[in-house]
Amino acid sequence: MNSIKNLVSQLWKSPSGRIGLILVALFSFLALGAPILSPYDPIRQNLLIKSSPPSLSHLFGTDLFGRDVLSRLLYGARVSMGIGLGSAFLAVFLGSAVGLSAGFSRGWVDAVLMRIVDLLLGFPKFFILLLVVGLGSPSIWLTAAVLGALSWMEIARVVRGEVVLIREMNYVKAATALGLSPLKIAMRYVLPNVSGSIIVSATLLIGTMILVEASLSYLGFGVQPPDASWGTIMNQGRIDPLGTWWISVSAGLAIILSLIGFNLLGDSLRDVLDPRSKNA
Amino acid sequence: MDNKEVILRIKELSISYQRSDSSFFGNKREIVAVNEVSLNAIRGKTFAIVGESGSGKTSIAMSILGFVKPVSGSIEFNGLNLTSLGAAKRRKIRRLIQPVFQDANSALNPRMTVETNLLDSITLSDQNQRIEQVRFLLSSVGLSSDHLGKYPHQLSGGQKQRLCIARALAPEPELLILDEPVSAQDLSIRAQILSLLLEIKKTKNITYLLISHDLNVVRILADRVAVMRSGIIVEEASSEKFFSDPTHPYSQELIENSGIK
Repeated sequence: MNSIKNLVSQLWKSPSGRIGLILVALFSFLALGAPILSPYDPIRQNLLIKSSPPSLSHLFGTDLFGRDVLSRLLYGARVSMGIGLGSAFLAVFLGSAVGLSAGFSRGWVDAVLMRIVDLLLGFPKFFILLLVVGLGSPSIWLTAAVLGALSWMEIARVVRGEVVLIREMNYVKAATALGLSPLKIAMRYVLPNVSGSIIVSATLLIGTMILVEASLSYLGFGVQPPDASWGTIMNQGRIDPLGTWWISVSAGLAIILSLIGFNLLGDSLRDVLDPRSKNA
Repeated sequence: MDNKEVILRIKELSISYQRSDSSFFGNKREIVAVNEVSLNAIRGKTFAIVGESGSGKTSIAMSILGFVKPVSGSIEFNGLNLTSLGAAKRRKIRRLIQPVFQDANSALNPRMTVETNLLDSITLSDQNQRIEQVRFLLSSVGLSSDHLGKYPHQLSGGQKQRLCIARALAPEPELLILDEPVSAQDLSIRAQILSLLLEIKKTKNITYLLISHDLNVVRILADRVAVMRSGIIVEEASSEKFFSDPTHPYSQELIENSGIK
């Protein structure tokens, strides 16, 4: 608990860390509080007020079916950030497991695992995404799972690189000399010391995942109406971009601001957690 | 020399490293670090290997610890040939040979407190006994139990090296490999650590293999000295003989440069 407090106070010291923290906290709050904060039901249509511009009763206007854009954005935050978090979590889990195994075992295990990573990195990711999501019935879970399963390779590389460095440290040698099992050494001596890089990669990845999900949903392959995600809301604004500018602009702003938030937070976390940037 | 007294017998040990050229299709070059070195360490005594950096002394230490595989030769510990042991058997006897490294900063897990750093080295199963043992180890290296909850970065350089020594002592080893144990410390700490090492040796009858380039340290700790240069031992003698009457020109040069004579 103390270390989290410490981390936050260190992040708060830099302007980018502060902005990142505020934006991420704000969007998390909006997403979690959507049922309470939303002024209207996000899927209830009211064709009488369709495509009405921002006003006091509908701050962000209404869409082509007369649904309140603000309410849809709030509920969309849950979906977009949920997919971002879920897929990043899956990618981090897979990437860390592969990176740790490869870097720690070295030899042929390392060679085989990293060649698989190289091979997968060569695949056109977005095309496979479209294919898999398109073939299956699109859903939030499928989107998150496919995104995560296609994004762990970069993390595996980062983790492996760190693990290769850490396993040469004398404390790992000392632990080996104590006769501890390789599993115990990997979990207690190596993994905690690469956790900083893992957290940084995860934070940056959440932003990327939100963007990829938005692109997918914009193209109609991700979250399906009437469920809202920021991508599907943007898609609605595509039909009459000038006449109903508020739809795309508000969804676009949500995507951009959340992306900036996660990227700034990730960058600042890197500065704080990277031992090389500390004045030891 | 009585065989029973010899705890570590190294016979014609050779170690080499492969270094590949920077180009993609470059050939691998073999660099010989240790060339057919033989030595015997007597139980309860300190055997020092002296030499400049790159002379191969740390390679010998690493191969005794099992981190570097020798090309040829044998390392016998208590009559058991370590070079031919499988990983599982090796792990069983690892605890009897413990290292103390030069840089205490990189020798301690930065994410573990003093207590957990030491707890991991104790095999007792009873929790109370384990904590008791940790306190005992700390006091035996001159640290108090106030340090238990501290992380390595909260300790001074000398305290860190004491903690490393405590961890090395925890499994009750028979051989302690001291790889430049005080060269990262300042002068006053140096004297403290050296007297701690002397005291431990006296009370616990542990054998030391001291790796050092600092002849002042060697003079205080060593009973026997071997001088290494470019992977071979150029001279081996008792400490007294070595410091009073070195025969090899390189040994004479080292002693002259160290300011002892």
